[in-house]
Amino acid sequence: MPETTNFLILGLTVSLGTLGLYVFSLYWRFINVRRDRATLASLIEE
Amino acid sequence: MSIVNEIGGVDAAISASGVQSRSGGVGLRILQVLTILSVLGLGLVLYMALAFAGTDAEQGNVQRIFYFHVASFSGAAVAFLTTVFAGIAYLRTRRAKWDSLALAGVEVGTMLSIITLATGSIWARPIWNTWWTWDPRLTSAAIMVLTYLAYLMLRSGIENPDKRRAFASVYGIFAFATVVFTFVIIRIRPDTIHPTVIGPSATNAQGGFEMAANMGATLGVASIVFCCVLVPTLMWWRIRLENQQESIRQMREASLSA
Repeated sequence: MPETTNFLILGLTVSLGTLGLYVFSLYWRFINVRRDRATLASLIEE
Repeated sequence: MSIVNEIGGVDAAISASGVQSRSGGVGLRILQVLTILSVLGLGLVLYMALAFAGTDAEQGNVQRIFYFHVASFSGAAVAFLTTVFAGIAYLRTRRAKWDSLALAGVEVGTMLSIITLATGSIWARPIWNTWWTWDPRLTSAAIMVLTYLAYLMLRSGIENPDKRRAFASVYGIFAFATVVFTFVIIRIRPDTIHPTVIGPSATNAQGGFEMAANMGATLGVASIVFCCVLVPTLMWWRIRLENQQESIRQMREASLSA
């Protein structure tokens, strides 16, 4: 049986890493929306 | 209260210049449960791939990538198919919520397609002795990813919302041809080296294997988790984000016109 464990680890890292990056991008955009809303609300109040 | 209510949020924001999404606490609660299920499901797939499914005698441990490779393509296909139905629904009704659903499908599907391409490439290195080859299947998969990346870039370049939504709907419907093409190409082209694990492979396929019962079970669980839990969850979060971004746009426009 060939030793291919390193490629398995690489594949899993890339898969879960890509998924994690996408989830983080969603989270980051939610943070930005919240910040934009607060800024806009304060501008409207002024 | 469900994703159906959630995707109504854009329309609610547009029609009432609403700041709040129409979906309330129950929808968010369901989404939170789905999110927990997604994490648990991914953990289960990881456990089954690493500990439950047997090790392939010819390929060794790298064969375990297969469960993520196939499941992510299945999930991407489900997301892209949703975009087709959402595109048709938008063209029939002209309601913005369908465009929001279509966009979520493309974004999640593209991310999963990138995982498919990357895991395939990593598997190919020890099995085919190369990271990439211009095999019909690999080429069609790359074209599919580029087509959907172009969707995201092109729609962001159209400022008029109605034109953007109409263009994106038509594009999303026709772009699905690349998904169908990618699926069938290994079944109609005899010169591919890409194996067809479910069904007969081409005679010159390299890297195929006989799937044992525990391997089949792992693939089944992985496909169900990706298609039925992970994709809907990520799409729902993306729709929520779109609703909130739309409400900000409406607030900005209302404040400028006042």
